[in-house]
Amino acid sequence: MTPPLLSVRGLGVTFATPFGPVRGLDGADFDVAPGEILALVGESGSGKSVASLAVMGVLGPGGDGARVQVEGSAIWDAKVDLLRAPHRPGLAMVFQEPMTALNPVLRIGRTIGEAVARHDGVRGEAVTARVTTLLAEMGLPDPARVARAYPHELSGGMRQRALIALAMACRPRLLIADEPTTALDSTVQARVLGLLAGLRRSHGLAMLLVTHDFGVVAQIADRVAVMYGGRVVETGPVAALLAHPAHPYTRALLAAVPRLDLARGEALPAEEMPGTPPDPRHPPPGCRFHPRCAVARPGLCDSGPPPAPQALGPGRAAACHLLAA
Amino acid sequence: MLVVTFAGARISGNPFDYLYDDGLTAEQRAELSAEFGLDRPLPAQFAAYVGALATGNFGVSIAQRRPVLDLYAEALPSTLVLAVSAFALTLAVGLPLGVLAAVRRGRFWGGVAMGVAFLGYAMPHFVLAIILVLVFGLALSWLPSVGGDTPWHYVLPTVTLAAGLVASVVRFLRGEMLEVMGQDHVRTARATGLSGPRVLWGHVARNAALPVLTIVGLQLNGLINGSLIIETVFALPGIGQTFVGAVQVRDYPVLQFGVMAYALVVVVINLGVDALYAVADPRIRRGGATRMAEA
Ligand SMILES: Nc1ncnc2c1ncn2[C@@H]1O[C@H](COP(=O)(O)OP(=O)(O)OP(=O)(O)O)[C@@H](O)[C@H]1O
Ligand SMILES: [Mg+2]
Repeated sequence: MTPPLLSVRGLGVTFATPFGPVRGLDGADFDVAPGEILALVGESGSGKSVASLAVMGVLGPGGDGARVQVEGSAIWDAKVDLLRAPHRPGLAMVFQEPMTALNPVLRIGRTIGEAVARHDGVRGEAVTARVTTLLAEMGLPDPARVARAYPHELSGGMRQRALIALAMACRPRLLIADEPTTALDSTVQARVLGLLAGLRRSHGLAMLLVTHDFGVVAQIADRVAVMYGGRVVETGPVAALLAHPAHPYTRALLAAVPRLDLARGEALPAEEMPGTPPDPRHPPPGCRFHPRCAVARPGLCDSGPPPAPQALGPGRAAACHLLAA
Repeated sequence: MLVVTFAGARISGNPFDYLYDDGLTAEQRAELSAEFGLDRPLPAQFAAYVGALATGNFGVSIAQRRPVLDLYAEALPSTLVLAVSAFALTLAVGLPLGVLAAVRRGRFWGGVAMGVAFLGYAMPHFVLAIILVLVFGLALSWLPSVGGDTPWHYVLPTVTLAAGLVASVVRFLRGEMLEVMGQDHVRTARATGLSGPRVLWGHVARNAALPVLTIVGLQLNGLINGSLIIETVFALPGIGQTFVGAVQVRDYPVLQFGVMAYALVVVVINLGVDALYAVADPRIRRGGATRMAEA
């Protein structure tokens, strides 16, 4: 097996809030192999964004000691100050909201140019040329004009492409994308996904793709990591995991997805997941999911430490008391 | 505007009462009034005044018997030096202090920066002027405190004038910096590998400076008001002195011109600030302009 490009072990993040500490991430583990797209899925509040920001090293205060390592690099600490953390070479990030993620008073070309100058060590004309090339590569027509535009002058889809160009200017080996298409309408969404898939092919780029859309997962991801309550509860190859989810939470999550792929007239109503996600300030004892779990066994699931992931065949693992029993 | 100035000046008294306090005979007074056209009925005086203005004639000082324009032209350089150096000092001190106050908030240097700002804010011009004169002018004798003969004469007035402005720059810049620091694009900039200081100055301070610019611009009005007081306290031969002198003796033509020029400057400053802000913030400059369409 090839060594992972990104290896994350025991990533924990605690936020200090006026209402006491909030455990946003509680020991998440996952790996991304070179050239692979790992989808990070889970309900709102499960820690997907916090995990991607912590890996990128731009979370700000709150992270505690954890091992984040990109192949061969130093091991990074999750505990960083936004304005002081050293840059993590090889990583770049695409953010969810392209309007606020770009500096509103700088022209697109200027923003991307700064990154080009930083990563290619070039100046002047060479920067302009590279910016234009990058924007063209993202499928933006008239890239020179886009470079002269301000963020508010572009449509949402164009802004997201510009943001991807900005990330690509960092010459990453791993692209972290936090719900890159959520803010876009569906036709634009499909094109931006196509662009990401194309970049993976042409650049051999690995991706950590945060999404809560299983359609997106099925379309471009290789593997999935399902998060619940700040931890990864199940991982596996997309096809196997979607076909045979092992963890009760994954099953409930998939059951909650409206099935549009069935024959017409047969669309099943989505089953709503019972209960609410755990309160990160007072997580339940034992397995985090047991209060909502249809098959939880009293005396087993509500006591003892949350279970460690069990290997379940090639590339698959799930953290469930029942599987360990 | 014209009417108010014109009437206000005349209601408050007659220049000859102030200029010749040992008294004038009735004939002398009539002679002088005729010379300056003050013997005619007010509407006629006003018509003559407006007519003269229209031809670019601003009148002659009653006290000094010289063209008003000459008096102000002589005083202008002194005031300009004071205003420009106070403005430069404000930016040179206020911007770094404001950034410091934001970056080191809740810590020692942040507290120092805010303390300086608070002092500058709380202390009226004339109090600060007196303290500075007492300490640096009299006790230490480091700097001259009266007159405008050498560049050194401008040091204390400049500091006095800049103090209040520095205070507002620091407070506003700190607030803006903290707001911008929490915005998503700062995180993006860090994620692209730009260094902390680079992001701090090139993105956070840059964006935060825009609104602060407006505040400073609007306070230029205050700077003019302040310079009236300060020129008087430090006996600087500037426009403020010219104007205050004219008010004291009811030198109508001089003070009428002063008020008009002041109004004009205020308008120009406000327009200038708006223009500057539009240049600096693309969202305003191209507000409502067409977006580029999705391809
Ligand atoms: N700055 C913060 N301060 C306090 N708590 C935070 C902060 N950021 C995130 N959290 C908490 O951390 C947990 C994980 O949040 P996160 O944003 O990672 O969720 P998510 O999986 O990305 O959800 P979504 O699908 O809504 O984006 C949540 O409970 C959230 O309330
Ligand atoms: Mg999120």
